Amino acid sequence: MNARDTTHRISRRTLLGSAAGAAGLAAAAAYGFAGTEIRPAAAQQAGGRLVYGLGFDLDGTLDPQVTNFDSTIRVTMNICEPLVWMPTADQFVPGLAERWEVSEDGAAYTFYLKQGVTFHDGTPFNAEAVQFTFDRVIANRLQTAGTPAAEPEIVILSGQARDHLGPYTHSEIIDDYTIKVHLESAFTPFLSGINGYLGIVSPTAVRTMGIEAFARAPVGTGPFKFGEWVENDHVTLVKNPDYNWGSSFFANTGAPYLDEVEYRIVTDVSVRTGTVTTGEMQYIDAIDPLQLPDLEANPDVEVLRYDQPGSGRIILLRTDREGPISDVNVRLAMHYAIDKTAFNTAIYGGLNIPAASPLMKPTVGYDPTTETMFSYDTAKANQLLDEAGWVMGDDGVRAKDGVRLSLYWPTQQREPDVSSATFLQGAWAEIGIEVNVDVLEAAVLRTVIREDINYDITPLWFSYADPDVLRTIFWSGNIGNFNRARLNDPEVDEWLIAGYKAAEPAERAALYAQVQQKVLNIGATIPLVDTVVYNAKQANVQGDAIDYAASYVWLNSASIE
Amino acid sequence: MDNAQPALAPTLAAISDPMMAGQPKSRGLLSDTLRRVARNPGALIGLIVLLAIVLLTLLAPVVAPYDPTRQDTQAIRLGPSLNHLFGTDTFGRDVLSRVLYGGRYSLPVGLVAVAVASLFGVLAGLAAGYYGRWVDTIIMRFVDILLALPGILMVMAIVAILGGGIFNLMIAVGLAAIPDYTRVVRGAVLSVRESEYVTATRVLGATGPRIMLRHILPNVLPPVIVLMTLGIAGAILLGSTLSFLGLGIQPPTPEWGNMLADGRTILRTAWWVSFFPGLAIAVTVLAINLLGDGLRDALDPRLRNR
Amino acid sequence: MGPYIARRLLQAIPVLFGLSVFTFLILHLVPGDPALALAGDRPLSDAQLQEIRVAYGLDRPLFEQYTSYMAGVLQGDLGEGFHSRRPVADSIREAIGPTLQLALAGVIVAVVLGLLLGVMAALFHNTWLDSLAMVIALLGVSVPVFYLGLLLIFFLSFQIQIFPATGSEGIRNLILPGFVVGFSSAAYIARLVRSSMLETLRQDYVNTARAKGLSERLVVVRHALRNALIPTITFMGLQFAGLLGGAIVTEQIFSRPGLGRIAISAINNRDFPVIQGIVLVAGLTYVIVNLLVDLSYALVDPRIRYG
Repeated sequence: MNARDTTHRISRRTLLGSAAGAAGLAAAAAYGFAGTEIRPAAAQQAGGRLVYGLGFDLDGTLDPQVTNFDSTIRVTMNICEPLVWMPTADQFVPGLAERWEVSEDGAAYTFYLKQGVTFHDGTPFNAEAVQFTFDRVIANRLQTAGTPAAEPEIVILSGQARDHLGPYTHSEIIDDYTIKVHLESAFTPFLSGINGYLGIVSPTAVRTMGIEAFARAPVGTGPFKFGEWVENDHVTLVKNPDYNWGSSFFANTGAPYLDEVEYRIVTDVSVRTGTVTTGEMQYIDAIDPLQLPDLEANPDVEVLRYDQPGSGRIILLRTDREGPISDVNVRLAMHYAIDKTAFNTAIYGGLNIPAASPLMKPTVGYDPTTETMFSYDTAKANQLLDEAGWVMGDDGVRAKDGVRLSLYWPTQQREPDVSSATFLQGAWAEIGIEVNVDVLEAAVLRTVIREDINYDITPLWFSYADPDVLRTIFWSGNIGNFNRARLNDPEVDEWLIAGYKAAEPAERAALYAQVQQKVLNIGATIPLVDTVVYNAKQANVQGDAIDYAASYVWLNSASIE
Repeated sequence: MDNAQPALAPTLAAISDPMMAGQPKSRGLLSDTLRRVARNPGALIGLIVLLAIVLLTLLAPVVAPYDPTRQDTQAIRLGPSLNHLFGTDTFGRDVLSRVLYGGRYSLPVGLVAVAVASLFGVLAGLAAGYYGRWVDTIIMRFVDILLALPGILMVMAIVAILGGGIFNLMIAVGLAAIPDYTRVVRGAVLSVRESEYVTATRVLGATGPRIMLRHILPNVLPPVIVLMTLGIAGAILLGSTLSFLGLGIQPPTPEWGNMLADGRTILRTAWWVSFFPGLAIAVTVLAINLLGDGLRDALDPRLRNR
Repeated sequence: MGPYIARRLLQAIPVLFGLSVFTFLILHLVPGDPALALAGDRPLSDAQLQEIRVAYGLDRPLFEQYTSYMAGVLQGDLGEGFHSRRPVADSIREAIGPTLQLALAGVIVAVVLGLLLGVMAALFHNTWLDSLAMVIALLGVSVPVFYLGLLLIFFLSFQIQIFPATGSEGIRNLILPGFVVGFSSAAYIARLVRSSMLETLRQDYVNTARAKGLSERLVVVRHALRNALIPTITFMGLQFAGLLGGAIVTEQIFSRPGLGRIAISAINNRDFPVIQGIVLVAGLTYVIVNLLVDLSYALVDPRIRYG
């Protein structure tokens, strides 16, 4: 593999062009720039305050390397910038790295960093800061007396960032503005992984503030500085007036137009949707699907629709457990018994897309042949169960050798988890499978999933920019983490590892196709819907953009007319 | 105490008045009370509505047009029509059938909770009031502790300990209401304890528990009965609030509070999903409150001879 | 009066102490491991989970955990939240303002609306105004708080757009949630005031006064109202803990900051120090409010003295 410079595959002109006509923009529109109408900077009205309705609470931290939540990154992304931005499926554009090279074997990345960039605390951004940021993720230990780390007082309990760094070993500082990142092996998803979760933090700030204080008031190089955070309520960011190192990719490379952004946590979807119609909020996450027609008819509101890559709403079935769920016929019958179109209508107002694979359609490596593998066919489901010896009982529940076909689905008390479980419980009742849906508090569910391990069914959703998400979910090394089907299949493992080492898209696609087909064939998962993001904003908000994963809204170029 | 329980508190002031409980047990209390309730139009309406609700609930298998848990993917979120008088919900289930069956869960929530609360509350109140001294101190300090704790937090904790499920919910709601009964009963006992009547039985050799159960309890019953009626209403509301907070009811149980909580996010687009269970709660609680008010007036000795 | 207050505050000590023991025991009975809650989806080994437990002292005997916690509390240290690793006192200080504002708004709504309806019902006893007031009062106790809140948001925030649905910036943000918190109490106050006033108005000397004409009647109404105040104040005192409970739900619905939102997330995460802290503050508030209630009797009725 040759060293490649992926920096400028998307030209600035293409992005500045008008949305109409330009063929080159079709892909961009599909992947997230439909709502972006970038105008000449001179016409922008500076100033103003944007209130953003977050659909999900933060997980108690604003430290990008500690959090596990996309909602937290949605906020911190504006404070702690990443090295690269990923606006579409295979485009990487400069963030804090001006350009980069990948080594011949794919196991080392050299980043050439921007110069003249300063953190909000006044200290300079340099290679040491990048090294510091990546290393703190690897330490991955809670601060305790016995922690064997160079600087035990700043060691964090790292979140999703750990997974994103993959087989990272260490960083080598070439000079102040050049850093070489070493991996154990090739890791093709690396660039897509060093997103907001690896937003660069100020080492000085972490050291002087301590990790707790830093997690409450993070310091980065972003266009916005941290303002205030009232727990469970809102986070306010304020404009960084010194900012002039914005990616050439953005319409505005200088200080942001907005003076202030308030991220307000409004978890009730109907209330959140209402606030964008009244102008109480200017931008909101995830609208109420049933209100889509109203919003579309409202001239003051613009609905933003983005397809998502990664793994959609799927359920995982235990393949390793005793009892009825161990029968592959039961698991496959459960798949045939689901009317995914009706599920989509009932739970999502029809706004998502019935799914065929654990990879969503826009993901690199999605295998279209999965679309013909299963269909809604209760006759087939019943036939499978009959043939496997599950006899329908008088109470409408099947049994075999005195064992009732009864399964356990513990779920968290939130939507759409509970309604999804309720829908499927009803669907499976039709073919004689009883499912006990147990609504639990988050902390109790964790105990059930990680310690009791007595569940048969559990849901998952994982938007992610690379098919490597399948490794997160199905690799045996992730049992006890996101591999909640507790799948331990040497073949699948092998394909998944080969998948992240392979560089060529075609080779990767072939490997991931095998994974997708196998996990479906053995009934380890049932894909329900591919998720489509429907955000909404007031029509006078311009210049907002979103990443390829349709998860992180970028506000450096946003303004309110 | 919490938002759903003011049902209990206000009557405290009115009914813990010693005058009320201070009367020796009247032989015709029951018939007298019934006569008074019947003369009170509000209470009568409450009673009739309540009986109708109970009857409909009992007859649910006969009168409900559909299976309350059966999903129909062809009938998702249909508005009220002749086929589905109250419309259908997110899963295509008939809301009317669910409301009818819902009473089988919601009404017991009120009844069991009140049974639990009154049983423990009355016993503790009797003991505190009768024995006084350190027994009283310990019990009343404990009551103070329970009152100082926001009830909803306590109910959440109890549900978490006992685990989900409707029966545990009933117990939890009941435990949280114990202090109300204890306070009222203790107050009433204090005023009866020194009455000549009780002193006489004591002189005649009756022992503590016997005096309490045979002679004092009947005299403190009127305020407890009122408290119980209102407590049923409060418990149903609290159960609903817990469902809103995501505790207690497991799907597909058609419990009113849970249906109301589930339907709240589609209030704007499919109002009928939450409106009808909400109406069922409101009507039931209203009826119980009307009846409770009537009972209170009927049992109030100051009003009895007018 | 001073000695009386001192004695009352001394009596509160065992209550608060008992409250802390009670909460502590309950928290440790509740299933759900704080270490697992903190780990979230992080792939931690058992050894790492144990490290968390050690760091938070969760591996120590229960009694020891309690005594070290109380030793801190006695020195004014409520500990650190498991999740935020921030002093619990800071979290509470930040949240208590909005919650007290909300509770106070609820009290005002309850008292004003309750007195209004109650007086109206009593003065126009057995007329349609009486019935109307009592129906409103009954409605107030027949609708769950969260549903009332959502109805108000949909009609007043989204349809007519006169009050905001979220936030806590000013008075306008306080009106709807205050109404929601106070409405059910208003309903009860209305009924208390009505029955208390009716009773006073029935008394003989009132009839005498009534015979003497309108100006005397005003005196009577004032007198009757004063009599109605004592049960009202008693009720509000008892109800204050209830208002805090109502605030928990109301804060969720109106996306307001406050103790309720912290409490819910702390309960979900099994964040023991935060829950403990909130319960203690709620208990303390309850004690203080009830003391104020008892003291206010003397203001309302000069015959009552405290020594």
